[in-house]
Amino acid sequence: MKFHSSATLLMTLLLTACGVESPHGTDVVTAGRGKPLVITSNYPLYYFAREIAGESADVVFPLMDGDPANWKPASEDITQMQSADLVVLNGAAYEPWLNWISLPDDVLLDTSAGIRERLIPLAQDTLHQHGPQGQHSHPGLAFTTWLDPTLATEQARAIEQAISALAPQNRETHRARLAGLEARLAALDEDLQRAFGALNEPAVIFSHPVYQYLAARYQLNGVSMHWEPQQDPGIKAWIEFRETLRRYPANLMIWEGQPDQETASQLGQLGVRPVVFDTASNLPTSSDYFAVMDANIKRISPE
Amino acid sequence: MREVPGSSAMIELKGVDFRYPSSGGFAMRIDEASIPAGDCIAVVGPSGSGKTTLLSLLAGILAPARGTVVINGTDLCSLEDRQRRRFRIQHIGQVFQAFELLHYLTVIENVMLPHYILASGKDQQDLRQRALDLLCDVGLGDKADSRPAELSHGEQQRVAVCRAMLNQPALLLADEPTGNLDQDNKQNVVDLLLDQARRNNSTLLMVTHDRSLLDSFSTVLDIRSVVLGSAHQGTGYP
Amino acid sequence: MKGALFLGWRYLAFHKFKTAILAASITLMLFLPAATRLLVNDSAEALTSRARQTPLVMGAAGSPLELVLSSLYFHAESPPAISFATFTELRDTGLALAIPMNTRFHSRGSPIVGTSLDYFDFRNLELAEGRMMGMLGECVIGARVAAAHSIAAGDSLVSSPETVFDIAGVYPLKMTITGVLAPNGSADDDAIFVDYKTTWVIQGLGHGHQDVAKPGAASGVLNRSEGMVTANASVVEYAEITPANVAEFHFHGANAEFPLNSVIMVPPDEKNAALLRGRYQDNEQGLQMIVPTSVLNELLDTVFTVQNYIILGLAILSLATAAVITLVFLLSQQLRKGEFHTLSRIGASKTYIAMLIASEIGFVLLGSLVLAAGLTVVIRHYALQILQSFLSL
Repeated sequence: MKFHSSATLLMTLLLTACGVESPHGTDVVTAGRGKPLVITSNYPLYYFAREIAGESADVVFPLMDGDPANWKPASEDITQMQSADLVVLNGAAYEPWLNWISLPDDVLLDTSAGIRERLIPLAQDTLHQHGPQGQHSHPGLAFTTWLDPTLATEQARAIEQAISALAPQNRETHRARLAGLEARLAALDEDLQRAFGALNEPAVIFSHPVYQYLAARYQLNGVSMHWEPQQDPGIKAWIEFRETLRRYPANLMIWEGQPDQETASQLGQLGVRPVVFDTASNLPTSSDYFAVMDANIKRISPE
Repeated sequence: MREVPGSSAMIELKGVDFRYPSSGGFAMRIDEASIPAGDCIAVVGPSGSGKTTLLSLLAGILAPARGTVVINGTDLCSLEDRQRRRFRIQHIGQVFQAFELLHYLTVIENVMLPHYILASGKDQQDLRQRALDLLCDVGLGDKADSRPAELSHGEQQRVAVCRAMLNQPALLLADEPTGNLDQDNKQNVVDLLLDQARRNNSTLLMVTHDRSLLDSFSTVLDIRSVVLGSAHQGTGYP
Repeated sequence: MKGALFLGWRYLAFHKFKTAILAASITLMLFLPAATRLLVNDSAEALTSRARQTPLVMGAAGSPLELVLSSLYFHAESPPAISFATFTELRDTGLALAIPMNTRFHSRGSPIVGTSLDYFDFRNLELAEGRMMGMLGECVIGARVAAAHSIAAGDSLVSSPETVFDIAGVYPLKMTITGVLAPNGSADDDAIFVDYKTTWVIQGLGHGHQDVAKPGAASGVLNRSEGMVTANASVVEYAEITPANVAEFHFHGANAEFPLNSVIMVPPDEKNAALLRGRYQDNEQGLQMIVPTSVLNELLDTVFTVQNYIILGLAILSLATAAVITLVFLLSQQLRKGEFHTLSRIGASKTYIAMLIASEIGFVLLGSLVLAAGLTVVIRHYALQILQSFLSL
């Protein structure tokens, strides 16, 4: 059973109406198509899959609000994934919804399977206890693997193998396109290396614990808060922040989104420069993965 | 089949010598006897004198060791068994003392029994109509679809008479047909037999012990007058 | 000889009761062995057909027959559990398609089969209405389950507790029916299919409750300290999984230890099948890899032996019945001597009378033959339903 991706179609129409070229291109999936259907769980994987597959497959990224890590697939999404030929997963516990939905095993591609030893466990989550089972928590892994271009490369390679298995007649084309993607990721890695290296920061504070792979790759001495960009952290949080600053004398705080003016102002008073580093997990409004990362690099570099 | 030319007699017996196969069984001898066509004759005689045997010889049921039995110009002794049976169904009607209707057939089917035994070549519908007409003649038209068990003895014997008359036989043989009937029915049945015989121009031979019925017949034949000797073997002829 | 046939028919029609008993006796003599053989052959075929479609089954060491009956026909007692890790290990060999099976639970007398979506393609099961199960707590039911309980997509079923006082164990979970399968003529018609993870929720290995770490969960919280929230027992566990609360469902412990009853293995060729059988032939890990057809053939050997004895018994009974029937005929002819004498006197030949008797026998035999054949055709037509009713194949 193949269905139109109504959400993708709607988004395409809206973007076209706004005069913005849809980065999805032809993402409308038509029933009865001959091409394999590939669905991805976040934007970077979507970008890689499209770059590699080209015309070999219909690659779809379901419409989802906010962070794809919090996505709760609706029944139409589940039905679409059940009919897909390939569901590209980030892995590293990025898709908790895998625990509660039913998908055929053989269409799932865990792009982190080959980099398991490089995955970073999260600091222990809140313990809780109810009933007789005893204390427990729900520990996991850091999942923003695509922020490390070397890990992203491994994920892209896994995608190429899977897509070539679906469309073996275009294997050579896929490999050539992967090679181009790998080159661009290598260049991105160098640029990020240069940007973070030039900072010479003793420490970096992250607004949210989603930059573990960035910190690991570029050896950033970082600590994470749990602050939301457009929310006042509160007095207690500021007190905690000052304590943290004493242990991590940072001049840079990396944010997922633009902090509100008051927060930015207070940070400024503490000598901390807020910088937005878009994780690019969801569809950018008017650019692509590399453009987003380039913008991130520009923002990091001191003026 | 041997026909005897130039004879107006319905029945002609010559030099008939018959004996039952078992030792000590009945035997009888008839030198010569003749019965004209159209006669209605009551046959009387003491028990064991061969009345039933005579009727069986005339019907072709039994065959004599010697002699000829000519019925309506046909010598039955020259016929094979199969031919005799065919002749019997087509030309001889029989009425028995015990009625001998088939309990599982309806009245009209019993009347048509000779046709079921040997299809006469006539159209079945025509024969069925004839059967119905016969039943109506005897006052049983409305009981055509009844079973024999639903009829009285007198009615059953009337059905048997109709059966005997189905093929318009030249010879009608009745062996004690009134033996199982009450007085009223006896006369009714005898009258019926005589009536049917006259209508059909059949020759009727009726064996009876009942002297009260003899007045109905123009001729009474004492079997001892034609049978030269009848005895159980071993006892000899008188 | 038409007259003889007519008289023969009229005789039988008049003696309806006797004719019916004779015909019924002969019909049974002919039908019972045929029906026995047909049903046994059909049930054997149904059993082996499903077994032939199932190349290999992996389960805990023990009774191979119990493993087959549980995995293929969802019968009765579920065999000892194996771990989910066994399934992932089998899957990761790449030698065959691995389909997990968990058949421990029931609802309204029907087995709940916890499996993966691959099962439906494997068994060529199609939906008659609705859609395939998508998330935890959703189920797809067989055609006979839908008919028996007059339920359809959109209705719900609750899993049955294993014991009356099973308070802290098996979870009576309300499951939403998303689809009804088209009739398949197999045990799948009588089953309720869920994702195997749903059976873990039923077993109490996973549950859903309000996120006690969130501030809004105050009423359910006994104590909060740094890094620890202690909830009180009044924190409500969800008895039903809905799109609104599905994200709150989670499992305790490692999936690897969670139970299954068996794994159906579908190797692409005989070589892979042989490799798989070879790997697990020693039962060293407390596992057994069985070939369902081999297991069932042993069972069927016994069934066929029993069948032969039954047919032998029926044959002896038939001989006795035939003897009695012959006696009845002979007595009947004896009683009808007078009638035959009358017919002979009127002009019927011996051949005619023989035809009359033969036609009666012939009509009874022919009628019995036709009736037996008709019953056999009916049994043939409904064999599968009969077998499904009585044997739940």
